Amino acid sequence: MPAFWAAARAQLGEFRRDPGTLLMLVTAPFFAVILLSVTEHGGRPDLAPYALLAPAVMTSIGMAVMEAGETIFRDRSTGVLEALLTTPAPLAAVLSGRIAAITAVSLLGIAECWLVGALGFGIVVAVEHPLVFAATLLATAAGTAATGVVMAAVFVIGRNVRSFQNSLTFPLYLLGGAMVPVALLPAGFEAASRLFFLSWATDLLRDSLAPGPVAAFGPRLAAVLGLAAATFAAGFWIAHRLVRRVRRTGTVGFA
Amino acid sequence: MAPGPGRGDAEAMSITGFDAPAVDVRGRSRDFATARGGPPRRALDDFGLTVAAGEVHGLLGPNGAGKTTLCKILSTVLLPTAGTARVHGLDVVADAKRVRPLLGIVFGGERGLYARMTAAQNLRFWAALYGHRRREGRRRAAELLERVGLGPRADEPVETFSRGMKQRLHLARGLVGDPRVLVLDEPTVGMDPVSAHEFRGLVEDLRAEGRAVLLTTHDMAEAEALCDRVSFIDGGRLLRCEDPRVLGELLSRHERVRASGVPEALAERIAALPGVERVRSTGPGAVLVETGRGGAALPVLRTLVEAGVSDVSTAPPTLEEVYLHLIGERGMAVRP
Ligand SMILES: Nc1ncnc2c1ncn2[C@@H]1O[C@H](COP(=O)(O)OP(=O)(O)O)[C@@H](O)[C@H]1O
Ligand SMILES: [Mg+2]
Repeated sequence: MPAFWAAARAQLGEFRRDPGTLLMLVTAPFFAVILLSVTEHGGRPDLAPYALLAPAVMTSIGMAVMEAGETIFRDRSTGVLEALLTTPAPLAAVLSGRIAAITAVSLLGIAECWLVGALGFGIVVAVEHPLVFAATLLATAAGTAATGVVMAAVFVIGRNVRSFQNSLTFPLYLLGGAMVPVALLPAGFEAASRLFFLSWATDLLRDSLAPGPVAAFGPRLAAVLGLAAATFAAGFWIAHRLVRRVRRTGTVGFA
Repeated sequence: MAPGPGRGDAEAMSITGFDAPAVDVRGRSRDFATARGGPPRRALDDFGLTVAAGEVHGLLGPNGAGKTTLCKILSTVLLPTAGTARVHGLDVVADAKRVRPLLGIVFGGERGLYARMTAAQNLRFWAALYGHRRREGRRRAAELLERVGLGPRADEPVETFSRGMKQRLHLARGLVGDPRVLVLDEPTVGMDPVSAHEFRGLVEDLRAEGRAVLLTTHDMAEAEALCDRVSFIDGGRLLRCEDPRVLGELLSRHERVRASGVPEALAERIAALPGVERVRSTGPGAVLVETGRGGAALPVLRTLVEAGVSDVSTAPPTLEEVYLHLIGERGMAVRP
């Protein structure tokens, strides 16, 4: 446990020392302005919740993927990862600590987007079902962190993987229904997206902002949590395998 | 190979626990795949050594000898291809989880630290990885920074440190888990002579505390000054394990004299002096005189100076020469 907290603190320190890592929190409000302008001037004020939720969710999952991969990449190229592997702390504890900090910070994007709506457009999107919203948000944070773990684990292997990370965020936005509900996507996409926790999560978040009743909340939340747990498990499994592999080939530190 | 102190006892007693040697490596090999599917490169070849608690054991070898490979295997970040390595009786592969809390590792160079964090933040982070809670981590960090002489710079970012200072921080990091066994991979590379001197004092303290220290180096003087025993490694093989006095004796016996502006006739006279093994020409008028007997350098120096040669210096033999003498003397042809 001390390892988890130490890693989280180290990550927060990194955000403070290098604000460039917070780039996505800078772009989120701009996205919100763009999308909200489109929905307002297109005469669809009913889509305002979509316009605000989209940049917030994209920021969260985007930061998890980019930063998680980045921290591991850095640890690896500076030789820190190798030193980490000599300590009794499980790599999973260190990874989770870092990613928990990243996810927590990324949730600030929600507040930013709501402020853009309120201050820039005078639109206050009410949360009609606060409990549903809060519960779903927590589950989403867990799933986002889990996605970060998977990404970080993948980054233990390769030196060229980094170039993928930016392009990888876009399919995730799409399959996660960040901007467009996956039900509106072509049939093949929807089927695939149902394996990704975020598609369930964004649907629930949008429903929690709408006045009507939320159908089948329990099962849908269970889907988010179940898929998040599966993603965590996959992430730790990959991390474990990769550590074994680098131990065998002797390339922990780009030797 | 001379048996390590306590090794026989350890075999008679249990194979786990603190009565076993601190480090016990046997028949260790490690191959690395090479590019384009060539034959694997053997970094360690049937290597063995033991280190007792309270012993400072030097691993002396040139670049590429396999020193770092052995350190990595001991510190569980690299799996061996064959053989066993035990730390206090625990296998570094099968019992890696139980080995890690017993070990502190200092890899040479600039790597393995968070450059933008302060020295204190770095140490607190690593203390947590050894399971220490926040308050204890703070206490240890402060204490170790004092110990390695970085107290006044504790709150400065590591990227502003000199190489020697980083090296000292590495040492503190290696000690933060209070290890029974400390593996130091070329710890004084980049240290100025004063720091290197202080480092020796620190290693002596570690020995007095009953820790086992495995120290790799290619600096023979350092090995001689610090170590209780010295293992010579080359090409992944253990050449011999010796008392460092043997090393000291070789160093003085094979002292070399370098001079320039030496006429050929004078060079011939020097070659005939007692104890001179060889006079090599290293350029026009420049010679390198190799001696093979303690004190033989003195008459060489006197002859040169009396003949009016002023550009004269002495130097210890190189690692390669010491190796050749070590192998040659006892007829141990290790390398083809
Ligand atoms: N990851 C690796 N892949 C391939 N060869 C390696 C790797 N690590 C070390 N080697 C090779 O193993 C040999 C021993 O290296 P090393 O243990 O680093 O030597 P030393 O520390 O004594 O200088 C060298 O020939 C080196 O090139
Ligand atoms: Mg080395």
